[in-house]
Amino acid sequence: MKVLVPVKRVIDYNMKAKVKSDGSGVDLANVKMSMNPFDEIAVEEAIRLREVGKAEEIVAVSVGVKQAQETLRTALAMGADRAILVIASDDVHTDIEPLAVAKILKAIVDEQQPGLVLCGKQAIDNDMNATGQMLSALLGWSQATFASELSVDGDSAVVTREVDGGLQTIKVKIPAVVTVDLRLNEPRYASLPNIMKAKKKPLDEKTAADLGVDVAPRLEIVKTSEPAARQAGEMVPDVDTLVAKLKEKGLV
Amino acid sequence: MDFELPDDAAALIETTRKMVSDLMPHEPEFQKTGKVPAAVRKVFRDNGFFSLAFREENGGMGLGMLEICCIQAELAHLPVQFWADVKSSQGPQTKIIEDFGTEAQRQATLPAVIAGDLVMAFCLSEPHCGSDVSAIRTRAERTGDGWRLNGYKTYVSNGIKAGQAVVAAYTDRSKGARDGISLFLVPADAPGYKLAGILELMGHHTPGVAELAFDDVDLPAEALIGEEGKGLSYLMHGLNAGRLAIAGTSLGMGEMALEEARRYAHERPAFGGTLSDFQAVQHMLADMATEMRAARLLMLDAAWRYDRGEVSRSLCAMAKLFCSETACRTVDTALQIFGGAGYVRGQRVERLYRDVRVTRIYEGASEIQKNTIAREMLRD
Repeated sequence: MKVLVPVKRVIDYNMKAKVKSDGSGVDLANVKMSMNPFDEIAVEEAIRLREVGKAEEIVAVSVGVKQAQETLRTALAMGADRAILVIASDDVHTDIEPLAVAKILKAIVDEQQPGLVLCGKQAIDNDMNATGQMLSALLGWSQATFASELSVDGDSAVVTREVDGGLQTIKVKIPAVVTVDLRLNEPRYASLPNIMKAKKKPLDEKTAADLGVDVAPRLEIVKTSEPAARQAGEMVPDVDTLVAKLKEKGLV
Repeated sequence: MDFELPDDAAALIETTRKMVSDLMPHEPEFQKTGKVPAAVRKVFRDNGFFSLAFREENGGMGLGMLEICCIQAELAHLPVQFWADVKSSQGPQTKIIEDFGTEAQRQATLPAVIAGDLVMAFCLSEPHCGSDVSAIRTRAERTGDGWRLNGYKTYVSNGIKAGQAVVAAYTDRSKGARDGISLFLVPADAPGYKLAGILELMGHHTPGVAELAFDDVDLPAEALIGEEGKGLSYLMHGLNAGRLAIAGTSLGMGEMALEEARRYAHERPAFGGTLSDFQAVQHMLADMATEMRAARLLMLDAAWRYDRGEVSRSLCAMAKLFCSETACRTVDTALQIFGGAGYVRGQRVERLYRDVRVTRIYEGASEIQKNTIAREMLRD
């Protein structure tokens, strides 16, 4: 079975996001970018499936700007076999919307014929949480979202999902789209030798136009603003005062 | 002119940085027990850190000094004991085997070193001599078809657990150091090879360095590394790379101290504000940052030129001299910013204060580096 893993280049989770002065979005110029952490978990899961003999080939795909090839190199260094970059913009500030990404991924799936698409449940930049679901709808495939456990057996996959109120276990037919949650696994590092070897692995480039997908945004961003600054705390001299204050505020 | 690191180097450094930051939480436990948690070695072993310096045909990554120095600067944020074995895999003992050893010597050592299973020792200094290599007393005499080694070595890093040692000995004292010293590969289980003592150190404090005694150690002819009498030239061969690597080590320690001091100054309440509100502290931070930046650039320049084949003794000596001296000053100032809290065992700056001091001493003391720089300047 071939596994397709879409990975997104996003602002590094350690970076403090700053809003552009014109309010049109987050400033991404000269900011450290990394692979979306949920996508790292998806890559790791694909590698584990290959390690237990349930997957033969792992193809990483990224949609976005040319620089996303760095993200793909990371996926290759972790263990993906080859990569496909779909260039859909030349401006790092243009975020390709979920529906356009899903359409592009559908075209890639049609071409690559994977048995499983493993996506992060959402990207940490815009938190849309939509691409995997849209892709499964476009493909007419089963979907299992928010996976915290995954096992593949024959032509089905058993997925434990993190849902409100607990865990739900479902069985889906393969081919399927599975979106992964935080607790599925702990991704490995890209080892130093594998970082060097990743340079020699194949990375194909296409454009959204090659695939016939219109990526023009359907959403208009009206305004982006920073969250309100946190108010400074108050120092209290002792525990008694602390308790009194908490009572006063009705917190205990 | 382009001051950006090459993509490869940037990716390797980035990954190392991530691993180092994930390993940092092991420091308090180590500070308490003095034992390096097994998880630390596993991370380095699983991620290829023992293969950095070896050539690809020998199973290594074949990295240049630019990458090695930058990776070393990241590792140096962690306690020395965490990465001492990684550093020893890049030391003269392994590079000499790779460059001048026989195929059999390479096979006996390099794959095990790269796998993280073998630590090798380098035995040069003796109780009465360090930088003055010509004064060593260890000697190897020809026997029927081999050599008999006698002598005493000290300051042997990793000497306690080394499986193999590279030992410098006179094979013909009458020819002087230049043509009379040879190197031998000596397995730690050879009869007569003895761990004679352990020196506890100010920094790097566990497990300390070893003193090794060689009493009538009989070696086969194949134990000789390279050619007889070429020992000194083999030792000199790796000198510049060794100095650059110490530039990396000290740079990393200084940068770590700077970051600790910056964070602490920002957080520590004082007189209704924080320490960082005081201009005296701001100026300390500004000086530290400026000097550490200069140190980094000097190291990058020397390492970059080294990899291009412009090996300059003088630039390598300058990088080692300046990075180590600057790092010591920076760590000292960082401790001053911490005040009493920095003098407490278990504090990271306290650990750095003890650990960084030796960077001005080993791989050629600062005074030796200055000799080298001046000699190159005054050469006709």
